[in-house]
Amino acid sequence: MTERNEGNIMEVRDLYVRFYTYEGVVKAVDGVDLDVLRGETLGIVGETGSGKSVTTYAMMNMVPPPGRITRGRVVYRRDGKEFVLTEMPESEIRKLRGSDISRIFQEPKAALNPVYKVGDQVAEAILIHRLDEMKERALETLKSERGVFPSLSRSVIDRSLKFEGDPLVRLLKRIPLLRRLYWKPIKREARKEVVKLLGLMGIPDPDRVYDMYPHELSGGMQQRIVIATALSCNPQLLIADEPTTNLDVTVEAQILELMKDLKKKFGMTLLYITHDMGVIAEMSDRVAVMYAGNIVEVGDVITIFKKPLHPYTKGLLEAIPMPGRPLKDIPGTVPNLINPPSGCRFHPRCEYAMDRCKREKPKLVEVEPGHWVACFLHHDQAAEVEEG
Amino acid sequence: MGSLATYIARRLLLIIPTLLGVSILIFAISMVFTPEQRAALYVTSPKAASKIYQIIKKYGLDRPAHEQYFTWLSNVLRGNLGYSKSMNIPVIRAFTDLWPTSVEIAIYAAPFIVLVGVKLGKISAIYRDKLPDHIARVLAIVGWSLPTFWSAIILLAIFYGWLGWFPPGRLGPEAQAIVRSSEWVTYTGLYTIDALLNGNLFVFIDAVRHLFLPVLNLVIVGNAGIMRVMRSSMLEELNKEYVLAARSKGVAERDIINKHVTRNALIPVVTMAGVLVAGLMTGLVITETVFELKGLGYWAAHAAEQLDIPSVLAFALFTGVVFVIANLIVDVLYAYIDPRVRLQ
Ligand SMILES: Nc1ncnc2c1ncn2[C@@H]1O[C@H](COP(=O)(O)OP(=O)(O)OP(=O)(O)O)[C@@H](O)[C@H]1O
Ligand code: SF4
Ligand SMILES: [Mg+2]
Repeated sequence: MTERNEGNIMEVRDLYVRFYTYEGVVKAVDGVDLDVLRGETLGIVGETGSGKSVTTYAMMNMVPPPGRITRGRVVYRRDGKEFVLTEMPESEIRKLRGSDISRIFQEPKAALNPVYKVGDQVAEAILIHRLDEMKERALETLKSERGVFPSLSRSVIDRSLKFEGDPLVRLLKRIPLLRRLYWKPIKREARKEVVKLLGLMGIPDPDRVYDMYPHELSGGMQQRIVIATALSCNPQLLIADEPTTNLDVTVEAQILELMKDLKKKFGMTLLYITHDMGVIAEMSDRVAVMYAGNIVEVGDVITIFKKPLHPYTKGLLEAIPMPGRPLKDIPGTVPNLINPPSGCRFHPRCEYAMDRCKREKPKLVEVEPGHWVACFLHHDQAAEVEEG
Repeated sequence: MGSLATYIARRLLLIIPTLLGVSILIFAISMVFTPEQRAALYVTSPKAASKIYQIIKKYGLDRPAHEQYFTWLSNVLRGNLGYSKSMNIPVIRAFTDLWPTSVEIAIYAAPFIVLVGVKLGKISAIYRDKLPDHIARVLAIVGWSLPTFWSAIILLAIFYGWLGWFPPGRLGPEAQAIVRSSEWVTYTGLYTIDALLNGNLFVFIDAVRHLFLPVLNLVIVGNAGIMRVMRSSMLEELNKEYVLAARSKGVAERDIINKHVTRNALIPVVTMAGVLVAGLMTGLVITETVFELKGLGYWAAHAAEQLDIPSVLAFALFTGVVFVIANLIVDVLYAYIDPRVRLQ
């Protein structure tokens, strides 16, 4: 029997993102269509500045200013329900961020707030999305405790569970010292949960690490903290934005192993961004190749590596260092996206460029089932597929 | 927190050599004067001033410098700072009489200056390039470019001359009578606090009425510096990746600002606030003059005018000590806000 939710967990349609800077309008994402299938690992590759990060920020509707989504739809699906992130109010989207869809960052050091304990930073997500669960647990623990304060705490937490806007609880939360009656037992449960989670990330002595500050940890440990935060509320979709770029090779291998392991354990969908083709091959089921704000090719990992069609994908593959083969870089550089090239944005660097490429923009079309390419060289093939 | 305690302990130890350094510096300056002039440092009453040569002999003012330094330091530590000819009382008495005035202004002005500056800076950064930002910046620039005496006079003209609400001076005549009466117990010399301790609401209200304008004026002219530092440091912090990370966790925008960004943004503001408070503590010449408050600033100006050497030196020493202590407090606050500092 096929499951009802076997299809797409996320759909991006006709997405445009622009950054309004003093130098001009940066056309960072320009008409992107992308499906993420439930349960898969989708790799996104492309040189620096191709719009990988921005596209995935749009997937959480959190493009940083001065950027804005100017057109398009982002749809997230869960349990047969549809969440149109591009049309939801911020307060509703916030409930999905960190719980349903979460994110790991390129630089763990920058992603952690330097002035707070790392454990508290993990706990923050739990206290937002799993607050009621923590309250229930706190009540459970408090049951076995005797004394005035535990029983006071119990009644306060109980009240807040029964009626979220309870005026008495709201008042109490504003009074210094007294508010500890409410928070302390809840935070104690969150701490237990965080310590468990840190252990799961392979962090030694998690109870001690909880109280440490980011600068006291190594890069690898910092990234484990960031991963723990992202996983703390059992996300359905995890976006990993080059999580190993700044780590040394052995630590990178450990983190990749951990991510694969956790994906199995948590049963989530993984969107893995990198510009390392080797990592793509190791991690992903399907691959989307981005260039200058466009997706130029999508296919399963074997297709992309064995029979790439887009000249840019071919270039990326030839640029992988391999013994017994001269290294061939793609000539030229990623264009300035304030004034991007006309037509196919790759044409100034493409050895097959035709006249048409300068005038028209190639659409992303399906040349064979599951293999999509945006290049005029392959549009005839597409037509054949459609006819046949 | 253990490391915070050790940090504070280390920082406290460091204060001893710093203070010694300050005292040596001040003493070195005093050596510029002739022994006759320096004799005034050891005079305690107008009568003693006639026995200059005895004093020079007694305190060894013609002896080598290091001997003199120790004589001088032990006198200073015992509170013998000489006789102030500008005030006609011993220097130490001038201090105990005048300092409370300056402190009283400082303890009310400083929190408001810092709070207003921080708040304006925050609003300005959050609404960058929008109307609230423009308003906050205009307010700050106006305050910053106003000469202190000018805004003070305008305030006095409106609120005293025209409306009659807030008079100059420290207390009105009735309140002064109460303060001078024998029932009044002086605990601190700060009228607002002493009034509360004496349980006298009338004096309290009167003191607050007199403090209102100088404090308001200081807030108007003083908050701009804090505001600008806060604004730029907020803008810098808002661009950091941990803000995006917090947003991606589902943290509400209000909490991102108040919990995550503000604490980081305050780090540079602390330095500025430290200098500001130290400056307030050591007296304000213009404010004290315009509002007829006899504080340290007023005294320092007079002493300098009349070449009142003991007063000027005592004042320099005092300023040095206040800044050293302010620096200590700033460092401790730093360490409290930013755990990275505690390591160094
Ligand atoms: N805050 C910003 N202001 C202006 N332009 C921006 C901003 N953030 C991204 N851009 C622009 O958007 C484009 C896409 O950037 P993005 O960060 O998505 O690239 P990327 O593929 O993630 O690259 P990298 O591999 O370096 O992370 C770039 O041209 C970049 O200059
Ligand atoms: S469309 Fe033209 S320029 Fe673009 S990749 Fe294909 S051949 Fe090259
Ligand atoms: Mg990126």
